[in-house]
Amino acid sequence: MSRARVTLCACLAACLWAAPGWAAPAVVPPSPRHRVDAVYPLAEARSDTVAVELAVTVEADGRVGATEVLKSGGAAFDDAAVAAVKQWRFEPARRGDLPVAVKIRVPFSFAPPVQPADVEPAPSDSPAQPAPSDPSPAPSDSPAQPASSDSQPAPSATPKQPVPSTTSPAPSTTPPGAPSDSEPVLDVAARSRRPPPRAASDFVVERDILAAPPRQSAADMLSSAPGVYVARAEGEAVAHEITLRGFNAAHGQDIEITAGALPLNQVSHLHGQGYADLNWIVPETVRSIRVTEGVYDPRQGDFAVAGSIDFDLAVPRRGVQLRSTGGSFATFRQLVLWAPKGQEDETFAAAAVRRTRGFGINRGGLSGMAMGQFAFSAAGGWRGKVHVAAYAARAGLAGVLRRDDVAAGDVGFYDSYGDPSANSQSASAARGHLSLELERRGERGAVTRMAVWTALVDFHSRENFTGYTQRGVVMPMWVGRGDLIEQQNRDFGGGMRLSHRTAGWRPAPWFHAAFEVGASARIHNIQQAQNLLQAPQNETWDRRVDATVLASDVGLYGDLDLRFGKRVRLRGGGRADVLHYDIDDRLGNFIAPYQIESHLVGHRRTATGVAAGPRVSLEVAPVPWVSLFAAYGQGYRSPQARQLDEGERAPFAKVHSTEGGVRMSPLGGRLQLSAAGFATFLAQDLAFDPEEGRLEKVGPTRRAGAALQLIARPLPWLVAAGSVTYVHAVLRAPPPATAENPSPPYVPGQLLPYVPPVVVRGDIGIDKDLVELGGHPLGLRVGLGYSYLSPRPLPYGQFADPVHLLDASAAVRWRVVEVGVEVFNLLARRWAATEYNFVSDWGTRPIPSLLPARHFAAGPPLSVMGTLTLHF
Amino acid sequence: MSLRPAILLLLCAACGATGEPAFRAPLRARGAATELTVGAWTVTLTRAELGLGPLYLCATAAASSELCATAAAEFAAVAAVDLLDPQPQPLGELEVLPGQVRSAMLDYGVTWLKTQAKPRAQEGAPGGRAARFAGTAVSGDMSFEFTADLDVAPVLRGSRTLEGLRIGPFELDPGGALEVTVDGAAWWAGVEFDELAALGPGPHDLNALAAEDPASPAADALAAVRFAMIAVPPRLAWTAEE
Repeated sequence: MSRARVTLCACLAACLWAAPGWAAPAVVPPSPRHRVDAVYPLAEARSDTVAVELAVTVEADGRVGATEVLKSGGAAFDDAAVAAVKQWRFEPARRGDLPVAVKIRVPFSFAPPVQPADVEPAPSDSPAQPAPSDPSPAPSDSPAQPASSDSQPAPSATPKQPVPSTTSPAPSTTPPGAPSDSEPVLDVAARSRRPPPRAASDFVVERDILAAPPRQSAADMLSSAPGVYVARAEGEAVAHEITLRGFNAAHGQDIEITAGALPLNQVSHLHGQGYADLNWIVPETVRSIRVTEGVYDPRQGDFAVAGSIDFDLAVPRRGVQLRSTGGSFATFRQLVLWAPKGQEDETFAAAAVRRTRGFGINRGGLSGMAMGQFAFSAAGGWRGKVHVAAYAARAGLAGVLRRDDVAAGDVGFYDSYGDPSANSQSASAARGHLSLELERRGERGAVTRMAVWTALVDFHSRENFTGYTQRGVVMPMWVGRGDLIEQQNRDFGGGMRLSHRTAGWRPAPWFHAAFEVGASARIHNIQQAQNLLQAPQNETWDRRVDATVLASDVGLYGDLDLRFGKRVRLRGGGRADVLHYDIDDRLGNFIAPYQIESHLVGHRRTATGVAAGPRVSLEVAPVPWVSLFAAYGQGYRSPQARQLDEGERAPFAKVHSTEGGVRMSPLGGRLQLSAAGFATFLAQDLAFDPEEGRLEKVGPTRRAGAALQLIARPLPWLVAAGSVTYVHAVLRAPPPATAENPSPPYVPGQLLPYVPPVVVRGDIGIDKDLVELGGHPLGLRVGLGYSYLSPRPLPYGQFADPVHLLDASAAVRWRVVEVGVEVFNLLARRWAATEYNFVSDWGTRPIPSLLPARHFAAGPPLSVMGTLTLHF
Repeated sequence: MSLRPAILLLLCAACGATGEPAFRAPLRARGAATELTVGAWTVTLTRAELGLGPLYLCATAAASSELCATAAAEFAAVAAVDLLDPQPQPLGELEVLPGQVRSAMLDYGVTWLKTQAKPRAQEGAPGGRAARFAGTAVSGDMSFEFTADLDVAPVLRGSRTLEGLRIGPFELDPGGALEVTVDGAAWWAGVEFDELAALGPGPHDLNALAAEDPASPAADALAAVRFAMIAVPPRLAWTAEE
């Protein structure tokens, strides 16, 4: 009885809470912060007034994106209008607390210069000028106006009064009362790049933060997300190692990483499950990064254990950019970036070459990358994007060093062991990929998406972590020839994604529902080989892996979106993936030399399994600028194919992820705050095994903690972001027993190695025009980025040293030129990018120790780079 | 609502480690009998020195260089043990990771490391040999003295002289010590002293005799001792430190 009363009261409360109307907040249109007058093309002067109308995309960061001429006044006038509006800066449109991109109509009117009586002084940009961006938004549900991705009605536009220039001889500016002065927003959602957050820890790192501190790669940008630590421990040409909210994801094993529809994790990669090399991404083309910490969205697939990361590639600043960088350690980088004016932001082409001698012995590298993207509109309301990229790199690797050898002076901190096997370490990587994405938006939020992709990715490394400890398997008498592990992984794959979101269904004013169903598929043909090489001739002296893996993944998900009034939103559904493997293990059933040959070597096998689980999130917004979230989901990581037996049901590593938190955006969104508490339970964790240079099982784990993020944009030219993440990561049971250790030591509450309990990050960016110089603004750009990692636990009760890193940049720009300096590791800290604890023998002691010793890979020392950028 | 539980939870969560840290423990060795009877012969050792080490304790059931790539405890050095002294002799310190051990592997001062082209005596081995013996054999009115220096080395490059030595199992806890007991006299039990007596009144330098004639009884005696050094391994025990 009492339960019934409680239920009734809850229902009544929900009904009272749920006010009529749709759930999500309305879009507040953009308003201009900085305008530049159009210059009258005197060479094309006319006697009548020329009108030009532009459709202008105002991005979520306030910059002007794509422009389209809706009404032409002739090429010269069109170009003048486009050139002017491209320099405008806006206070971005907002949906609730989130800045969103919108498309607005901006009319320009060019009065004839021969009619001085009509000339009016151009409005200045001074704050005293009345802001023409105050027209009240008018809801517009009309079908003529494309609706947002989540079927929110497009509010009316607030197009600024266009203001062409009045240079002498003064062409006219827009006369007051120019037509189409209050055209509505044309389209909100088509450029609303990111779906609304699923949880308090569903972050989007925008371009202004990404561009604040200096970055050497696109992967480095991830460090601005809360709880993320990125290191390039092994060296150039090898993927970065990423730690995300208590998960040492190594090269990507616990993070689903995508660039739009293109998945970047490589299944069953020999060097590490989920290996994701992000070095092909030109950092200047990253518009934003979505980092979802946890698994709450049915779209999250394989490897979404700690969460997922998605790179949004676009270039808001249009034109041609030539950027040269040079500095410490003979490092040189040349970038050519072409973002055609008048095209979508997603349309660009970029190419870069980077060369470095490296900050120590055997660390030099050379890489080249090229990528292009073309966004287009097609018949039937389809919009599309073609993306293509190629990348190649090769580098020497210094490997790891024993701490005790460095302390004894046997080897320098930034050196490599002066040994042929150590000096033969190297890595090379190459990839090419192609993707096509199509999207069609219907009425009331209906969206259909399709994507196909294909990629060829090659990885080749020679690394020696342990010195001289290995014995040959093929020839057991061969020993002590150096543990130079050669790994080759060549993956040719392709896949597709499909999804359809229904139009919104609103049976009552206070209720709105939509449903999305989607599917994904991918198939890979993977060639793998692992050998031991004897330096310096790199003769193969042992074979460890020779296999071909055919890996397939077919996934299906459903996602329901329910809104109860303005303040309550429930989203969730389920996802199931069928994974299939066909393994040709050519060294399986190996016959050792001391065994009698009773069969032929080789082991072919297949395995199939299903991973399924729910995801759900609840959002309650008591006031428009506060959202409370509760979320739960199950994710999974696929197994390493070669570890599967015949007919095995693919033992997925399953994660249970739960979180509660709050997001706030007071002060009109100038301040954004998110706080969350979380807990994650993983059925089977992995840790790096240096003997084989790959990941091995360590048992079930639990992570619990809290994260806090604060972003402030108090002034148009200032952004500051900071975050603190605390996590307590423990083993929940003893590691799996092995022949080497039938009863691994375990203490309840035993910390998980390599996971930093505390990660702190701070970013500050200043981008301001200081003074006018020769009629053009002199701009200053300053950026700072600071990372702190508390001591990381290492195996056997050891702890790594804490990490403090401060990067800074400053640049001055005038007209098309920007000159700057970038400083990495400004505090000149001697730090370890990563640390391990294992057995090695580098011949530095008469009798080698068989106890684990601390090893580290040195992080880069203080580095100074100069930059010269030309932007046309 | 009090913040105390949350603060306590936070503080508690901040503690812990990935396991118990490594520690050092004393390594001691002692001899056993100095005299034995072999048939009609009573053999008394007057010198018995053994090179002990390197020594490794392993979690695996049968320690070998492949199954025990990571040891649980080690003495990565060589120390000489006086097998005539039944009292514990401190040899140095053992580096220990807490946990259970089930097997051991060791060398008698002569190693054949993976990076060594051939076996080599390590520093600390007595006289650069695995073991050095001197003694007297008495049978009735016959007696002779003998000396022998032995090299007992791993048979395979990268392996240990003694592998798969089962011990315990016992838990390695701080406060304990490893005690090694070696019965050097027992290693002479397989020697044919009648044949050695036939060589003359002595004293017999068994190494010299074996070098002169590889088929001599001296060579057989050395082989028998070498075999026994493998077949009758030292006894290892984890004891509470005094």
